[in-house]
Amino acid sequence: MKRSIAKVFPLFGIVLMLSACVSQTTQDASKNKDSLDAKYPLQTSQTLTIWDKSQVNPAYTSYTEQPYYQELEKRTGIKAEYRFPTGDLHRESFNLMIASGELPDIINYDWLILPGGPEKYVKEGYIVCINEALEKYAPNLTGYLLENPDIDRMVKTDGGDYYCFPTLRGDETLNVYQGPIVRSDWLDELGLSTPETMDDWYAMLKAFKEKKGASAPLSYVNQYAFEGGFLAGSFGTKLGFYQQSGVIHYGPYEPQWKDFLVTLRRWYKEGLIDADIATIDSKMLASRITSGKTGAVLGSGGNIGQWLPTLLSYEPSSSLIGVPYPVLNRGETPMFSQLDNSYVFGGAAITSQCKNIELAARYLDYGYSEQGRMYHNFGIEGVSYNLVDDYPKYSDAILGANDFMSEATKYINTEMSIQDPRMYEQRLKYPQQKEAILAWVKSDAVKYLIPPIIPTEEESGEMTRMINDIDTAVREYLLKFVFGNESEATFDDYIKGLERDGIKRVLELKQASLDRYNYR
Amino acid sequence: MRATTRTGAAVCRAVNEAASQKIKTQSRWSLKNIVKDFKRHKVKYLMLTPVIVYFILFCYAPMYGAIIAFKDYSPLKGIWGSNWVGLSHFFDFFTSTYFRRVVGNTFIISLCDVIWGFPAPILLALLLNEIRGSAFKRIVQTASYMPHFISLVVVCGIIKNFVVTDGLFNDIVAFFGGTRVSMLQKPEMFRTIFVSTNIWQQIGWDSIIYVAALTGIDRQLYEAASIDGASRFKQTFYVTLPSLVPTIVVLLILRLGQILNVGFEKIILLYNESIYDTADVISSFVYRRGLQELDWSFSTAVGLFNSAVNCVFLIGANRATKMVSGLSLW
Repeated sequence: MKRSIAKVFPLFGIVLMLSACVSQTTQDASKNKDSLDAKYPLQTSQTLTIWDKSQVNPAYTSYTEQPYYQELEKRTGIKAEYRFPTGDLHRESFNLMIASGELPDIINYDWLILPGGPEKYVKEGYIVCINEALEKYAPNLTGYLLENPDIDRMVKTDGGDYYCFPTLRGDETLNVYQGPIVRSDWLDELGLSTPETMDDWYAMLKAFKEKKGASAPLSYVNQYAFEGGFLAGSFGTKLGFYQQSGVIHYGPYEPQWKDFLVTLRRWYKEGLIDADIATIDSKMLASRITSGKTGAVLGSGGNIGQWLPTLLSYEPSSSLIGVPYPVLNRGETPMFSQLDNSYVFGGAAITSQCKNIELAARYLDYGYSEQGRMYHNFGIEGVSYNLVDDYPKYSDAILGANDFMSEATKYINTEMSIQDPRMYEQRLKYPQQKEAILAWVKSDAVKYLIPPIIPTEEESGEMTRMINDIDTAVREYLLKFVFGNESEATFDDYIKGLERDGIKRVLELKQASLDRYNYR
Repeated sequence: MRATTRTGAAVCRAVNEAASQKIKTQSRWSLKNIVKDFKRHKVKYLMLTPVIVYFILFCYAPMYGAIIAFKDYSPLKGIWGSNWVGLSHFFDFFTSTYFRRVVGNTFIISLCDVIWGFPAPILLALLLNEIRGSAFKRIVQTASYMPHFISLVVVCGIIKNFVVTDGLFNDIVAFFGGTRVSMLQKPEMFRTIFVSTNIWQQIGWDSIIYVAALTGIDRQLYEAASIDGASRFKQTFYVTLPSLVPTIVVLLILRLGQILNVGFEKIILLYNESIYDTADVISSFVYRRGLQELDWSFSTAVGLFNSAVNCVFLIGANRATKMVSGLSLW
C-alpha cells in the first residue's frame, strides 16, 4: 500500500507541477521586458495590495502611521496597501475574502492549517506556484533554502512546488516555548528538589495541597494541555499524532493512554488537579497561579513574564521556574515536549490576480536579505535598536516596556522573514524565562515530531470529518474518565469507538502523506 | 421607551384584529378584488414597499444559495460551477455517530426553554400590571431589560465565574451546608444553567409586548368585573389573561417555529467536553465541523434540515392552535 503510493507519486507530482506552472510562465514572459533592477529601493510606480493575517499595532489607528510600514515602503521603494482581518477573526476574514473572489496581490496566511493544504489553493487557482519567480526574482530566499535543505523540504508541496514566502524560525530553540512551570519558592520552603519523575510530581502536588494550602495544586487549560505530551509523555503517549521510526501513531489510540488516564483520574480524585479543570481558560489560570491557589501549571515562557510581576506584588519572595517534562523513571529523557516545526506560520503567497509577479516577488524577497532580516527582527538602527559589539540591542523604550511585543511591533514584523534568536533572547525579561526554555528543550521530541505534511485534497476531504469526530470522542472520554464518569472497563469500547470513527483509515492517510513528504 | 410601548401596543392590536378577522370572513382572492383593494389602499401599499423589498433582498434571494447543500461548494467555481453531490451531505449528517445526541439535546434544551422561558415574561408582565405606582413600575421594568443589552460573551464570563467551585453559587450552596461542585462539569446541571440564565437575560425584554397588550385592555371590563364582586386575582384570571390569549398564541406559534434554533454562541461559550452529553447541540456540532473546517456545503445541508424541521413545527403549531382555540397566524 505504502510502496505503491510512493511509486506513483513522483509522476503525479510532475503532472501537478506542469499544470500549476503553465499559466505563470506565460505571464512572466511578457513581463520580462521591463525587468526591475534588483537594487533596493526599486524604481516603480506600481502599487501592491496585501492581505495580512497579522495585526496593526494597537497604538496606531492605521498601518500607514506605523513606523514599520512607513520605513518598509522607503526601503523597498514599493507602495503597498495592506488589509488586515478584524480582531481575532482572521480565519473568518480569510474565508470571506476567498469566498468573495476578489483577491489582493499577496496573501499572508497559515496555508498549512487549511483543509486540502496549499496545493488545493494552487490547483483551484487562488494562488500561483512560484518556482520560477523564486528562481528569477528571489535570490535571497532561494539562497537560504539552498543552505537549509530541511527547511526547503518543509516549504514546498509534495509535488515540489513553492507557493509562498514562508515565515521561518531561524533557530531550533525558538520552536520550544511551553512546558511545566512550578512555584520554586514553595519547592525551597518544603525542601523539595526539582521534580523529575511522576512520583516526584505526585509528592510535590500533595505537599502543595497539604502544607501550602493550595486548593488547586495543578492547573492547566485542558484544551491544549496534553498536545505537547505533558504528563502523558511519561507513559509514552500524547494527545495527537507522532511518528516512531517512520510510522505514524495516534497517542490516544495507544494502550498506554489508559495508564495515563488512570493516573490523571487518581490525581483528580485526590484533589491534586483543579476541580474546575474543564472550564479553566487562560485568564482563570493566571488568577489561580498569581493568587497562590495553584503551584504547578502548564504554561509558556511568555506566561512566566506575565505572571511574575503580579505574583511578586502579592508575595515578594515568590518565584516561578520552568521544570523538565516529567518522566516515569529517574534518569530518563522525556519522550515528548511541546515542539514546533521551523515552518508553522505559513507565509505570503502571490495570488492569481496579481498582475506583476516580479514586483511582488521582489517586494517579499527583501525580508530574506541580510538587511531585510535585520529590519524585520530589529527595526531601524538608531531608533528601535543599536549595534553593541555587533549585537543588535533593542532601544530602552522597547526593553523597558511592560509588554515587549506591543512596543517592538511598532518597528518590527516577525512574519514573512526569518525569526532571529537574538530577538527572543531580549524579549524574555526574566532569567527564569530563559532557564525555562533550556529545561523544556531537554527531550527526544524532535525524533517523534511529524514534519509539516500536507494531505491531498481527496485525503483531506476524507479525513477531516473523521479526525473531527475522533478528536471530539478523545477529548470527551478524557474528561469523563478523569471525573470518574467512565470506568476502566469502558476503555475497550472507547478504542472500538475510535475505530468506528475511522482512526485506522486516518493513520493510513497520514502515513501516505508522510511517505510523500520523505520523498520530496 | 414610551414610543416602544406604544408601537408595541399597536402591533398587538393589529395582530389581534387580523387574527379575529381571519376567523370571521374568508376573503375572496379574485383578481378583481385585489385590484380594487390596491386602488383603495394605494398609499398603504406604497408604505409597504420597502418592507417587501427588504424581504425579497435579504430573505428570499439568499435562498438560492441553499443549493450548495447538494453540491461540493468551492467559492472560485461559484455556486453553479461546483459539482453536484446529491444528498451525500445529508447522509453524512444523519449517519454521524453524534446525530442522535445533538438532535435530542437540541429538542430538550429548546423544549425546556419553551416550558420555563415562555411563561416567564407573561408572569412578569402580569405582576407589573398589578403595580399601581408608576415610578416604581418603570424602574423595575427598566432594570429587567438591562441583561438583554449585555454582550453574550460578558454574560457567559459572569456565569462561568459564578459556577466554578469557589464561585458565588457554590458559596451559597456551601453556606447551606451543601458540597461545592464545578457546575459546568456536571452534565445534569447544564440545562438548568442554560435555561435559567436565558430567562434572566430575556424576561424583561420579552415582557414588553405583553405589557403593551395589557395597556390595550378596556378599563370598563375591570369596572364591570369589580362591580360584580371579582377580587383582583379573579380579575386577572377572568379579564386580563383572556385578553392576552391572542398575543400569547401568536408568540407561542412563532416560538415553536424556532424549536431547532438553539444559538451556538451561548453553548460554545459555556460548554466543555465533559458535558457534551447534554450540551452539544446541532448548531455547536455544525460550528465545530462545518465552520472550523470550511465545510460550507455540510453546514448548509444541516441548516436546511434545521429549517425544514422548524417549518414543520410552525405549521403544526398553527394547525393545533387553530383546532383548539380558533386562533391562528394564517
